[in-house]
Amino acid sequence: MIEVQGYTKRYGRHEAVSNLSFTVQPGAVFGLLGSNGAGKTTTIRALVGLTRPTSGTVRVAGFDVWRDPVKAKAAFGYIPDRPYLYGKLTARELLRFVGQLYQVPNADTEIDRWLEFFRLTDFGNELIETYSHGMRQKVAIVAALLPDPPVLIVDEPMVGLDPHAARQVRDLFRSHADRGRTVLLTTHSLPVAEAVCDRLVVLDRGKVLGEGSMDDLRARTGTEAGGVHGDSLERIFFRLLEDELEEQRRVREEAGVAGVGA
Amino acid sequence: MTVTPAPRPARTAQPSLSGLKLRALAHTIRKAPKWGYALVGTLALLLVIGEVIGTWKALTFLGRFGDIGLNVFARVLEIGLITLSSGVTFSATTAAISTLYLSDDLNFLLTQPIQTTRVFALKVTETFLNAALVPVFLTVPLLLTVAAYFQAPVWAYPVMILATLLVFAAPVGLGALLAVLLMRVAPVGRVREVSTGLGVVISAALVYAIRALRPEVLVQKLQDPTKVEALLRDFAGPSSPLLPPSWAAQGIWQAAHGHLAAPLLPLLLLTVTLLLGATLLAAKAYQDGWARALDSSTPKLDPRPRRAGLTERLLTRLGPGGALASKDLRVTLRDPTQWSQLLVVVALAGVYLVSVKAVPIPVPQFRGILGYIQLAFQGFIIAGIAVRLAFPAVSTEARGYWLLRTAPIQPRQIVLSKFLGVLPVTLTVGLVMGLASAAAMNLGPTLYLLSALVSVSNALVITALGVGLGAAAPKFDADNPAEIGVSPGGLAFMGLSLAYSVLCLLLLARPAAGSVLRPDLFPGYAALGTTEGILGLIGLLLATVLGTWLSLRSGWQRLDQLE
Repeated sequence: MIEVQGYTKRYGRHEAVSNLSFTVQPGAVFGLLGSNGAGKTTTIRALVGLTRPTSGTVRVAGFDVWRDPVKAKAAFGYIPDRPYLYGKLTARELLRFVGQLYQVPNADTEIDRWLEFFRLTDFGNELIETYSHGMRQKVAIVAALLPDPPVLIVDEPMVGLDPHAARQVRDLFRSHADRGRTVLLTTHSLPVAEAVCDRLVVLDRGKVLGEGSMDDLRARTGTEAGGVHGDSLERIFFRLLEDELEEQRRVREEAGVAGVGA
Repeated sequence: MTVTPAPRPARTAQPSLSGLKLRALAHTIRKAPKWGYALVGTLALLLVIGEVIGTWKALTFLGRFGDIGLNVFARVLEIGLITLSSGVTFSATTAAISTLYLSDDLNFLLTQPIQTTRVFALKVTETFLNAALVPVFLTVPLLLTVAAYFQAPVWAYPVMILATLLVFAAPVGLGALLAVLLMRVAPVGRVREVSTGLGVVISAALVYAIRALRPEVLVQKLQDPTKVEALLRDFAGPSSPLLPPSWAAQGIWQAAHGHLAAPLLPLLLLTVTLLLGATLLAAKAYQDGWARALDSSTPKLDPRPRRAGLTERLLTRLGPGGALASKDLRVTLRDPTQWSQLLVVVALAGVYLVSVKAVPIPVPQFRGILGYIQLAFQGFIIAGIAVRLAFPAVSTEARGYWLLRTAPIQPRQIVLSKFLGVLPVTLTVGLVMGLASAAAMNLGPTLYLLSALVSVSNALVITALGVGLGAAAPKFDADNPAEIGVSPGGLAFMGLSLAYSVLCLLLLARPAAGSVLRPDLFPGYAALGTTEGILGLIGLLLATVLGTWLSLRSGWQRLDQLE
């Protein structure tokens, strides 16, 4: 379970995320959706202990990430958007190291199984510095899933993956949630979000534009399911953005009128 | 229907690449912590003041011996320039590989409508700044002092600065050429190994050259007043007239005396040729080198799983910290930029021990005092080792640090694991240096014991200080560990380490002096049984425990706050 309460992150005068709250229940895949600079990665970084919240709390599996970091971190696996890994280790060595950090039982057997799953067995003894971006991304995914964590936190999961691996990963997230575990992912790929997520938060410039299941969002925006797969979320997304722009314009006009009146 | 082409816009001037870089530098400086600049500025100012005063005093002293004495200064200047330019040659190859082939901005710049030669001219300039800026900074104040001492004409000042730039630009051009050739002939996966190997060979040659000068013979001869003048005469002639640094030294020296020296012309021609050659060849050979990078990355596949070895199994029994130590050991031994630091460590300790053994000190009391004071120099050697191994220990996690930061391991465990990983090296080197030099100088039992205790204390505190300060201000985007130490934190570490070495000596100075100057009153270990001796030992114990603990604790606290 993930609980974010009143999370705000400021960098100087710039507010990257403003008073964000949401809860992800076990058994659900939850998507943080938004354009570039919406605050998705900033939120994820707070959840995994990389960025300290300016205010608010972030809890994973009941543990405050910043007050009880080791217990919280033992409860989640994290897949970053850019898979920087130790280039001078082989995939097996890196995964063994992860297994040792998380004290994974039967790590060698699990590592063999995961490498086979992603068709990396032949490359398991090669240094990671010789891997392509997609292969590194697969190793980062295995590293996050190896401890079979109760919570999986994923930042832009499909970057660099081939279509076969992308479908495997989508299925993995779904089956992970179906086993009663929690999955939170950020993406700006609307088809991915629509295909995998049970609930969504749409962010723009650090503010929540909408939250709920696909049906909730459709009802709120008055959009109907589109004919093309993924189209309906796209319509919801742009409707939410248009509503937000309209609201900002209205506020500016009112302020202008008030200024002239004064 | 006819279509009228749109009017072509007037051609605008090409954007300045160096202007772009300077703007980026200005942004970096504006955003960086001000205390860091204040610290570096203060240290730099102190260094310049020390250098100017030292140079002036040396010239005044040697001037008493007339022309012969001043020629000795010219010779020392030449040796200094040879040494510094050898160091620049060593670092220039690695720096050139990083800037000419691995820079993040190369893909962007080379896809813009900019001449390739302009891009690589910028990269060669960056190589010069990376490899030679510090030696230039060290040399210029000294040369300006020489010019002022000899009341040189105004034109001599820019000529001397130009000679300095040329003498360091030549090895940069050579290093850049070497890097381009390496990228052409060596498999890219091995380029760093090959360049590190070359660097080690150059360093070994440098160490050999310094040892070949046999400074202890100089000391021996200087002890005999009848031989001083003959020595100075022998020493005054130019040693390596065919080496470019010798040309620069002659040019600088004669400019200081108001003459424009001929050797500056070949130096200018050589440097310009090397720099132009490196730029043009890099522009021409880049694509081939890049293609080789792709070709040579084909691995030999072996699907059989390779399991953990004995060392890994033993270390991982210690928990996450042990697993981290096992990972660090493996990465260090595989990364030439890290294991090459171990060679530098061995070279430093070796040269020190050989030099200590060779210095002749006939008077026993003087030998005892010097034997005690040299422990401070040993502290400095330990700091030289720690700045290569302990200070970069956290930074070498590089961009993979997210893996540790998001894993269930505390910053305290990370810092302690790094500390315990480096300590065996510093402790072994410290103890070997301390005990071997004490034995070589035939010190008494008290000083022998104090050498061991001070060596252990230095190793513990200096290693902890290195790991702690390195964790407090990590640099995760450095290309190699050697570059991590060249930072405000690294300079502060070196200063604090030296201060700690001196503190250790002061704490035990009284019993040490008693055992050396009054062996009749304090035979054996008796000096350590006095009030001063006991207080000194307690002080050393407290300083060691507190210095180690506080350094490590501040390191993991700052690491915990890092975003």
